[in-house]
Amino acid sequence: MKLSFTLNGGSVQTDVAPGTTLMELLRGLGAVSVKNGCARGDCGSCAVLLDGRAVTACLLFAGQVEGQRITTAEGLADEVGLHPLQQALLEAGGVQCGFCTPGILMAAVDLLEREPEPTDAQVRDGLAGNLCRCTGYVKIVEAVQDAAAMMSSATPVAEGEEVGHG
Amino acid sequence: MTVTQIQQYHRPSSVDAAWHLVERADGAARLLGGGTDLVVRCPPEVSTLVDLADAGLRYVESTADGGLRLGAMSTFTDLLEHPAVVTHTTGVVGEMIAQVGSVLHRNSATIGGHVVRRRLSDVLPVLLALDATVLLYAGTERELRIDEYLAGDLGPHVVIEVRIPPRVEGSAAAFTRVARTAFDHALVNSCCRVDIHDGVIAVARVVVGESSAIGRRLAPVEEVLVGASLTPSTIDTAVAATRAAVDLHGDWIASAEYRQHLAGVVTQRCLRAVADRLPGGGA
Ligand SMILES: Cc1cc2nc3c(=O)[nH]c(=O)nc-3n(C[C@H](O)[C@H](O)[C@H](O)COP(=O)(O)OP(=O)(O)OC[C@H]3O[C@@H](n4cnc5c(N)ncnc54)[C@H](O)[C@@H]3O)c2cc1C
Ligand code: FES
Ligand code: FES
Repeated sequence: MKLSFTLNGGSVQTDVAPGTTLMELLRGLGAVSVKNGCARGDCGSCAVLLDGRAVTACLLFAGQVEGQRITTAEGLADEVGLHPLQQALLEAGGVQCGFCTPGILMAAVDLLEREPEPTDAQVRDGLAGNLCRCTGYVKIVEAVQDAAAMMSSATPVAEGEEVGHG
Repeated sequence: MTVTQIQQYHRPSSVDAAWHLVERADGAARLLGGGTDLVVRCPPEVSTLVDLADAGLRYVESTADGGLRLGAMSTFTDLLEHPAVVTHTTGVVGEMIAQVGSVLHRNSATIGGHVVRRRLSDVLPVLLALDATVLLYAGTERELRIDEYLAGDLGPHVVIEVRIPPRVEGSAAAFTRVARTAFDHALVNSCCRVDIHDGVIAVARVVVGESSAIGRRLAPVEEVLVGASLTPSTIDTAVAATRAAVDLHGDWIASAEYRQHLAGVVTQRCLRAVADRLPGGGA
């Protein structure tokens, strides 16, 4: 079936089998940050933003994103630099094997969008659907707090200026 | 992974069109809400999906009398972000939804898909305790009490909305669950509501659910409560009656005896929270 949607700012027109999951579609389109950890909603490693809200791509049929806006971890950094959450995860040591990292990033982007100054409990709640086998979570929570601080202290950009994440 | 048996995907723009598509397919078509259940649990005979995204069912309305109309395609996040939903009957709906799955899951799972699915539910005990109804469509519209809806074999139908009646003056409710982890299904959950009139309990709802069943009202416990005031000793009597009334299963996670014990614990926590939420503390 024919499908059109926006992926990381670019428009996509494609043809998919009607039973395809969003996770498979995105990986097939090269967005391999979308990881298949369980294919049943338990681990969060396939999380993407669907119109700005983090969802598990393994539990959506591809057809459900018709006309919608999808963002994956590939869409976070720009030519200026990494997204503050990516930078903070690197600096705080919140990444070990990295398998969970893209999903954690997308859940954290959704969280900071709704709650720019979260408490630790809110960060833990926002990441409750993301499993990490390596880090023990402490450094991930610290990184999200660091990114929140970075983002809130970023100087407002004058009109007409390019908006970078870095 | 690809649900290989699916051959067709429709996205009708009305409830009537969606119903016709499933009704004519003679069991081979399923309605699609958020997909969180259907992607992993699509029955083998199903080859057609009928996505309700364009059928106009994503809305949350509060009625003039303080009731709620929750459109079937509303996600749990939509509900959690709606002020009238999270404040209804001393906040019990918001308290429960905040404990359903994780945010990733609440961002796509719908209330309509949840009531149709009838399994492993934190939501149904609250809907049962609040005397919710389900508005459905099968050629014509029909409104059923949630307990009737859950008991019936209704054939192909579209859930249009879940309705929660207005809060009664002097009413309070609470929800509690016990699970191994924040993101696990509840071993046991409970929702209790009491309506106080003239200082005594006029209406009581005590619902206990467990991970494999959908929760049911415990009439003997409700009988203990009606006519009493919600004092610590009434709560103790209700807890004992709960343990006597439940019939919970045992599995590799928790024995039946442990679940029975927990049923008393969650009911006690709920009733204590209800007492705290009543004007004047209930006792
Ligand atoms: C990882 C995970 C964690 C979970 N944790 C919890 C938890 O902690 N507590 C809890 O209570 N639940 C939990 N659940 C269950 C979850 O709430 C349900 O899967 C969800 O609500 C189903 O909604 P949906 O919109 O995704 O349904 P779908 O998958 O779209 O549909 C489910 C069923 O309903 C039918 N259907 C959908 N919408 C309609 C409609 N409007 N009319 C008629 N039929 C319809 C479909 O045909 C299908 O048979 C969890 C699920 C997952 C996957
Ligand atoms: S792969 Fe989607 S939640 Fe695990
Ligand atoms: S860094 Fe390895 S799973 Fe999280």
